[in-house]
Amino acid sequence: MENQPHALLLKFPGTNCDAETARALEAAGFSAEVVPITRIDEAQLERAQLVVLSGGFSYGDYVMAGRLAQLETERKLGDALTAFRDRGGYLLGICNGFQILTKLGLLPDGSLIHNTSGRFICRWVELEKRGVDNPFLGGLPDTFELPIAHAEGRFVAPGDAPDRYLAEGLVALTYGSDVNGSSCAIAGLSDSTGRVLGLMPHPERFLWKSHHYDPDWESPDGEWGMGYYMFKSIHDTIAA
Amino acid sequence: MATLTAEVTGNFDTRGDAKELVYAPLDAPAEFRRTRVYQLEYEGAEADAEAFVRRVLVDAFAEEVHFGGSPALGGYTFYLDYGMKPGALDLEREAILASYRGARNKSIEIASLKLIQRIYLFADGGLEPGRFIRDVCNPAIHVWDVTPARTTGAA
Amino acid sequence: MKHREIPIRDLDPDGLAALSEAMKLSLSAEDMLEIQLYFAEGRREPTDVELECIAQTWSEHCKHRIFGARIEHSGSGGEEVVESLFKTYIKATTERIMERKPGFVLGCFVDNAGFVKLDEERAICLKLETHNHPSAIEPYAGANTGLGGVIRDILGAGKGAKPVASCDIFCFGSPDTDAADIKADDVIHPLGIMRGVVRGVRDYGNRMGIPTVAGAIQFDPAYIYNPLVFCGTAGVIPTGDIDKEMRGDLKVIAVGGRTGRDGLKGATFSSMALDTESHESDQQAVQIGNPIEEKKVADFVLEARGRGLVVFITDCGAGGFSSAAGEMLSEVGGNLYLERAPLKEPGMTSWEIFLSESQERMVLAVEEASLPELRELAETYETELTELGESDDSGILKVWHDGQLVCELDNSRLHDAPVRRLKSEFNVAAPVADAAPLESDDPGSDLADLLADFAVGSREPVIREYDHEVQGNTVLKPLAGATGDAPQDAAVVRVDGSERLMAMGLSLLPEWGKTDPYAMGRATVDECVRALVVAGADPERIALLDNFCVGNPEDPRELGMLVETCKGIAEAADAFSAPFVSGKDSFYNYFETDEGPVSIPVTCLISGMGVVPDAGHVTGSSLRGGGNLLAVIGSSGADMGGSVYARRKSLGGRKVPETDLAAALASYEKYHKAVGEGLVLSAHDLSEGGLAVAAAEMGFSLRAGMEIDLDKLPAAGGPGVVERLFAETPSRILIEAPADAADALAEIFSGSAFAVVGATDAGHAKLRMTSGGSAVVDADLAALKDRWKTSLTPYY
Repeated sequence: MENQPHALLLKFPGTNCDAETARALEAAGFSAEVVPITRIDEAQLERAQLVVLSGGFSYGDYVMAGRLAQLETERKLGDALTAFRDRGGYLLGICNGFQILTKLGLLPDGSLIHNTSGRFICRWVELEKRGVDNPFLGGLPDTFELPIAHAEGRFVAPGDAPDRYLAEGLVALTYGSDVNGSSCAIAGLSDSTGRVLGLMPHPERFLWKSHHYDPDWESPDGEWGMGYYMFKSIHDTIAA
Repeated sequence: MATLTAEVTGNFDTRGDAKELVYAPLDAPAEFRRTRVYQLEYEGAEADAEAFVRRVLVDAFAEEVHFGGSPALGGYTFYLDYGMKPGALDLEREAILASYRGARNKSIEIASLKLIQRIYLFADGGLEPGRFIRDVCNPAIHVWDVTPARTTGAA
Repeated sequence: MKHREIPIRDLDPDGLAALSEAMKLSLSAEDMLEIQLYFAEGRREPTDVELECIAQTWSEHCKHRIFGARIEHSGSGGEEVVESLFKTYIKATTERIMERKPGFVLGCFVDNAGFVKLDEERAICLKLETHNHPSAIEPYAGANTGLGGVIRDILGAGKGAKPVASCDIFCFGSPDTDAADIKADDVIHPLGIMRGVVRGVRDYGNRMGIPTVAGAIQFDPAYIYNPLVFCGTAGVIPTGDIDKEMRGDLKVIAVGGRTGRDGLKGATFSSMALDTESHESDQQAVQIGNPIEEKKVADFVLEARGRGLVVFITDCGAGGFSSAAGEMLSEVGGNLYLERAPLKEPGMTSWEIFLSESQERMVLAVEEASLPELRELAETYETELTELGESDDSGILKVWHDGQLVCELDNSRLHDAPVRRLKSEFNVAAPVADAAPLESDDPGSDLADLLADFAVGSREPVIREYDHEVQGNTVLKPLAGATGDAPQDAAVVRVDGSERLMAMGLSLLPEWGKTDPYAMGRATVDECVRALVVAGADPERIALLDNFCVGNPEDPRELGMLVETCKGIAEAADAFSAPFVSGKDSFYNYFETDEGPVSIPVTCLISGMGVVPDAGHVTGSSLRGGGNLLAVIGSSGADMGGSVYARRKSLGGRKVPETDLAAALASYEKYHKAVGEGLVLSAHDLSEGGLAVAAAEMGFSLRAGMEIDLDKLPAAGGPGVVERLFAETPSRILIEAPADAADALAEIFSGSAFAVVGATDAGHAKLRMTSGGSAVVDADLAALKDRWKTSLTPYY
């Protein structure tokens, strides 16, 4: 397809949501390519309009989620991801990808630390859309559900920073209730360009209607799930 | 060869109910907090070693690091240090060293790295460490050490 | 020297036994005589490598010598001789079914896992293993490596199957066990076992990115000293990649983790009973898993298989290189060079390298021309690849270390381990003579108590710690329904590229086996098949696995219970034409306490995979709404033996229900037809806690109230109200169907026990069960759900 947007999925040892994320990107119209960190170079970034850091446990998430992946990415790519964003590229970090983007400094200051329960949590959550003009969220309703699955998803930042992010429109998504102790219930965060989004929930796990836990859940179109609309939104933004 | 001891505390951590640590109800209420302690043996400048710890082992926004070796928290009844016994696989340690080996322009040479999980216990009426050792540590893989509060009051 | 010669040719039987003891070979004097004979014929003494190699090959863990033993059994049918439980009850059953149903089973008993056909292009496979003893000593690490090991079984199945889902089944002492009731030192409290095991599974499965979709937890004081941990993984593979064959012109490579002293003697360790000393002295057997290492290996293997670079592959499980190389090279022959193996520590001797059970290693046979591409792939995924040796057509495996020949065993001349001879006995205890129907003052409160019982209560705190949705294919989740937290009977996962889906289910009823293991065997198979069918599987397309855990096989009564169990499962599998395609057994699950030996009850886990024709067959087990009818499939009886209700009320000596296999199969086939015609909205199997618990669980979606007339239940044997509510008669299903489906359902189920028993009503939120026109249960569903949901939360 002419002008088909290209997505590059960066894979670390322990990244494990790359296949289903590529599947979702392709369903939304992207061409998608998974590239292990050992094989990445800046030329590959040139070809992509969207770089995705998918979920998993990069390097086991030892020390803290995302830290070792951050160090490895800095070694391999220097500040190439920042340059990629600055020249108009889009970056999406899902779950572990959100943690890595945060550690890389591509998102507002803050950290994703252990859930207040001290546990891994796998469940579906209600989300509220906060980023009104966010290019990843255009096709989504004001509230919708996605599944989460993480141990370190509690967003914290110094002082009143979380409130400020809300006020400045950097908060893309909030949880409908307190699921992990996140400050201001932050579930997803953008940078000031709006082209970088990190979120803890997994849109790729709600691609189809049949992914929903309730067999009577009604899809707006009878086929797709809410995650699809997220990938479709960013696809349509890039393709426009 | 120099040694650096770094204790990492979470800025957003709060005390938890100590019953989470044991398998049967406690006689009296007690609370706990966890920290991580790294013992680094290295060749190089102390400032570089501290920079390595801050860059690799500490979160800039959510954690504080305390160098020097004296306990980072006070007011405890005792603290329990435990770690993998020599020869047992410590995945976090391996991951840190693997990452370090891959680094260019190393400012320090790491000779050894030891990871210790530290649990501070707080109780008003005193607390016996025995149950906590038994339920937290396993002699099959762990070594441990208990340090009571000094009778003159905690640091 | 890194190996040594062990003189055995001149030893007498006592000397041989003493040598076995000193080297911790776990071989009997009879075994040692057989080995002596082999080396006497070869006119040389064995090396330590050779003795260790034979010991591990012949160990119970690897050879299943009790399942292959000749057993003189004295049971209800009189005296009989069973020549191998495995051949008689498992393999023969499967062979009969394969003849009746060609083309379904695509591989069983020889490879790492059994395969069945999913569709024209793909097969699915399943394997379950136990990791009991390591989990008793270090629960986190034991469960962690247990799951890691079974995942490698799938990676080594065929030319490398893709792991797509896992399940975990645990048997523990009760989490509220009083520490004073634990009659031995150094035994970890059941709650510690539970927390450690769950976290071990969590940290391996979640990091590997394999959804943990199904499981069970049994609580019984008998498991305090011997907790059981079953880990299972299912895989998907292109049909053309199932068959693999060694040739004489291949390179043998190892990928993954390094080899160390960890895990030496794991195979022989698991063939011994536990005692307090094992907790101190066998620490070498404690291994810690590294899931990221395994994830890298998995990425490598699946990519290599996809590119057609794998000729043969197997995992390094019990016995390490010796069993992996043995599997590859013992027939075709070849050379292995131990000095090439990357080591974790210096100074390892030959036998330590050859026998090490270090985790996260796979062994492959590949064409020499493929090596450069494989090396590049290993670099891409950051896993270590080593060329260990090569195959030839010599027919003999030779193992070298620094130029020295340290092991040369001719498998054509080394006989199999001698067949063991055992005795067993079993007599069913006469049940309490025809007990009158039970009375209860307050069945509603009984129901609430049952829902809060550890046997029934929600596993949500555990399930939420497992990522059950990674890979994005979990269609029927372990918790679902309108509120996303109601229990389901089995899990269903989508398979990429196929319209068909895979259901994964399981059953175990150890409480039944305490009095009637034969009935337990039949009912366990029935319950597993039923769970799969209710989840949407075609009853014609179900395959089973048998996993046994037993105490002391040298005790004729314990062995007798195993024999009876095997008879039961074989008959049931035959009746359902559901073949066994894989299985495993674990013995010596007994413990010497201060007050004598404690054995576990004979524990038979039946798990299974079923082919679901399409997503439309997946209804779930949670109520969809008001205005629908409720119907029960299957006949309800009066026998209360083995039930949770009987245990709670201390009703000893009750008869365990029988299973009418022919009737069950007929109703499952009809059920499947009804689902295909869209006549079923939701369905839940009746198991622990009987109809009342099943109805309540179905209502936990909180979509509507439920009204059930107990008098309308299809029944036989005179069940009273309590039995109708709480008996655990097998083969029953509660369904919700559209109000206008009554006639169509009656027609489909004609000839089977089936009755419309009530209706759903959106106008209230209660579970109302009546008999003789008056309410016997009238309970708020939300309140019942709260009791059920908070059963385990104080502990986990």
